[in-house]
Amino acid sequence: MIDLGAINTAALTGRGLILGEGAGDAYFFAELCDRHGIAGFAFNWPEADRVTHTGGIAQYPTFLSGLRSRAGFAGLEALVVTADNDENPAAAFANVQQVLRDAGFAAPPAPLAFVPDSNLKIGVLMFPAAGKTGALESLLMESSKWPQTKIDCLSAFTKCSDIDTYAVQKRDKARVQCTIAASFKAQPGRSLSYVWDKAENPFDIAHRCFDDIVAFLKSA
Amino acid sequence: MSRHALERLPDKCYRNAGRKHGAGFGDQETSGVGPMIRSVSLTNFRCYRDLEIDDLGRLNVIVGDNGSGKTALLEALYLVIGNNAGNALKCRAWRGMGQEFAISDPESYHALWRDLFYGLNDALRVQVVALGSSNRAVRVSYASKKADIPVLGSAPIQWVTFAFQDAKRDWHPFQVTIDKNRTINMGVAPLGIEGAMFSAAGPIGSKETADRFSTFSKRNRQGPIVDALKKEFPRIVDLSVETDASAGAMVHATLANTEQKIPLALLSSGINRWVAYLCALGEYSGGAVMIDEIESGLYYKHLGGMWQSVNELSKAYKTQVFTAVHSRECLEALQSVAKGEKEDVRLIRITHEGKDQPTVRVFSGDQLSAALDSGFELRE
Repeated sequence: MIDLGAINTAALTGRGLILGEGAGDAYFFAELCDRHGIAGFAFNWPEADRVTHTGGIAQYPTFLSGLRSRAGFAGLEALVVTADNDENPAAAFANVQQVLRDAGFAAPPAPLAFVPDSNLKIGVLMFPAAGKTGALESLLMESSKWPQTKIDCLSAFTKCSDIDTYAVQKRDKARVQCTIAASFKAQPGRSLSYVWDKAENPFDIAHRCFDDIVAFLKSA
Repeated sequence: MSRHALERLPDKCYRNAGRKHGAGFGDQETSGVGPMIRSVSLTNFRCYRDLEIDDLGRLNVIVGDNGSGKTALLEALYLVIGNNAGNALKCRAWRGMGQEFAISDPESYHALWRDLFYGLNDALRVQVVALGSSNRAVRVSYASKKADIPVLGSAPIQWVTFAFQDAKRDWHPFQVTIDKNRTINMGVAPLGIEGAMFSAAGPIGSKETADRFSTFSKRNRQGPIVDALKKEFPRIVDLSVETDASAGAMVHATLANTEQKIPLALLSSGINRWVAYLCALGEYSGGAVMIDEIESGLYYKHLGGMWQSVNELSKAYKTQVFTAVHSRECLEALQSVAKGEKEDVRLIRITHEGKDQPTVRVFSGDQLSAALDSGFELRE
């Protein structure tokens, strides 16, 4: 299992922090950075609110508002905030910009660009890519190791099961779940967080679809 | 070396010299005009070479490693709100550096004050300035001339000078001298900001707390203190001041199903400290109270109640609080207050980052509350 660095609440010790919506994002980034020799990042996601049980991007305002007072923040050089574009990339990015500004941080003018903020540089990474609808899972499906025949089979299933009628990000999350379930015979309910170090892992972390993200993180 | 005990400091919290108990406890609606100290600057004081801390709040919570400078910051505040050299000597005693002063020669005299100076370099001038609704400053330095008449051994001595600047910017300098009877004379400047300090290790002054509680009680304002304790400790039915045959007046607790009232100090040192803090908040209405390790002696589950009561009285009496905190549990319990008092609460973190003095960062109540909600580690 890849080390996530500072857990969600511990003192920050690295030079960079990547904020994702959930544990799946964090483990994906940990694997990606490990694969490409990108060192010094911690990978966090906000804890769900104890009362409302809402997590993910809904908790970004609280997470980011408190981040400056977190132990180790002063040593941070790069903060990368990630989010899914869902069905409206422009609105999703604008929302992340606003959340950053509301928390007192500078907001970059575009995804995959850093903006300076005191001793820090801040970047935003939108999934699957700037201007494209979808989520991290959309990108993962692009990186599938499956042969085309199996992918066609999955496509046929998502069509006949009406999964294709879901919003694009939900459709791709369902596809990823199906792919994991079909890959892990002994544990079909395995979480995306725990696929990366297994032989059955159906996603190729070295796939070219991640190249822009890798280049962005290397520039941090 | 012969030892001459010139002054012995009692083991308790101190109020400023020349101040009578009960001078505070003003009308809750009218006393004070918000946080007395909005910013503080320290020059050559203990580990601080040159530092300014802005945007202080009503309830200031200080975190930092052992030896980071938390207590030194509290002491700087205690020094500046004082009106003579006594507060410096009290801090020295609280740090375990001696309550009996053996001054037999110039070196032992200088040793009394050297710890105040950055790098123990007493050629420097110490300055602490507190700005806010009432401004106050103190300078500590040595006189340029040596005293003409040697009183300690055969060598003439340079006396240390404590100078206090009042709100009108007038300075009140006093040399701390030793007379032929080896008595310390330190002078008394007019009071400015009033307040008290509670050290982490020192015992609580029972009589002082009793006097303060009695003032609360006479004005029938003891309710918040008693209620806070009853809420946390259902065994406690009431508090009152009683006279102990040997120790004098002390706050006693009436316990359910117990015939005799017992001294709070006997019941629990943690509860005793808590009540002492609350009483001081009332006495120094509009002033400042410094508390080193506020959680000291309190069981974890009462920390939320402790914060709530400290906040309630600090707010009611407009008394500013500066307190150092060590435990994560105590910080987490602070959320019970921080969420509703974001405008007034501050987190002050002190770290050593390889520089020539500690780095001090102040975080707003918004940041603190969000960080506590996120479960972040706030201590470096």
